[in-house]
Amino acid sequence: MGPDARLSNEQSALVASWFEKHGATLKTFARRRLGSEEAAEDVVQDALLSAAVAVSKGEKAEVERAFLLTLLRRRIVDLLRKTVRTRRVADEYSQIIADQATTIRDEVYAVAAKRWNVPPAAALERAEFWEKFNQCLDKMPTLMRQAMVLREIDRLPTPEVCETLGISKANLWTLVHRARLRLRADLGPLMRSGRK
Amino acid sequence: MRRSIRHLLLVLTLRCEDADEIRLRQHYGESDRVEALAERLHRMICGTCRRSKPQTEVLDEAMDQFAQIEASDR
Repeated sequence: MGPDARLSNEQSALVASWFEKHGATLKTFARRRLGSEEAAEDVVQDALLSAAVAVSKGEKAEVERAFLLTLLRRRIVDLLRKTVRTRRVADEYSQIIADQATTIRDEVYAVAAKRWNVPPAAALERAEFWEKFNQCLDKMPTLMRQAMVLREIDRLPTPEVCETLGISKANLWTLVHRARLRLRADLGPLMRSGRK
Repeated sequence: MRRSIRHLLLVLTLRCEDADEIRLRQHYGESDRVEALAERLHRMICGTCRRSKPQTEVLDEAMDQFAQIEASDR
């Protein structure tokens, strides 16, 4: 039986208020890591219920959103670990590699050959940069995005990411590397704008 | 001796793509000394990789900031 078995009125009110305040952010966070809207909704609900139970047991949530995100991340990792057994990770990996094999090299050289002339600090302050960054992440194949997000954004240790996704260390770095190449290719035009 | 030859071969035959992946792992402290040396030597002779290092650094910075952005409403 899950943490949602019996919630007091107080806990239910807490969950509802969290959902109203943070629901959209939490769902986007989960969708990015799971690759499915439905799974994201379920895991967010589950995480909010666990958070309400944890708070009622005396756990402190000083920074509400950070507390919820930490809990949600834990739930997502658990879910990915559970599904890795039924998921055809090897097939997903081969498909990504096959798709990219012919284009990736040209892409990276084309990008790298042109110098980025927008100062990094200025670029990172631009809304356009993040919009593009998000778009690129969203259109990546699920396994590639998961590898990149778990390792580079969530900063989970390499062995943990490999175990969670059911891939080897070498495959993990190949995926993360190719994900970065895609980002570079997509962000390139933005980083060269303004000057010739 | 055999190991030294293998290391020397790595230095001499490193491709841009591999050098780029080494730079990524280096950022997380997951490359060894031989790879780091091979990458550095490769970069000395490869203009494309010299230009691509700053791009990698921008992405490193972006990854650091993205977690904060995800947690905010931006």
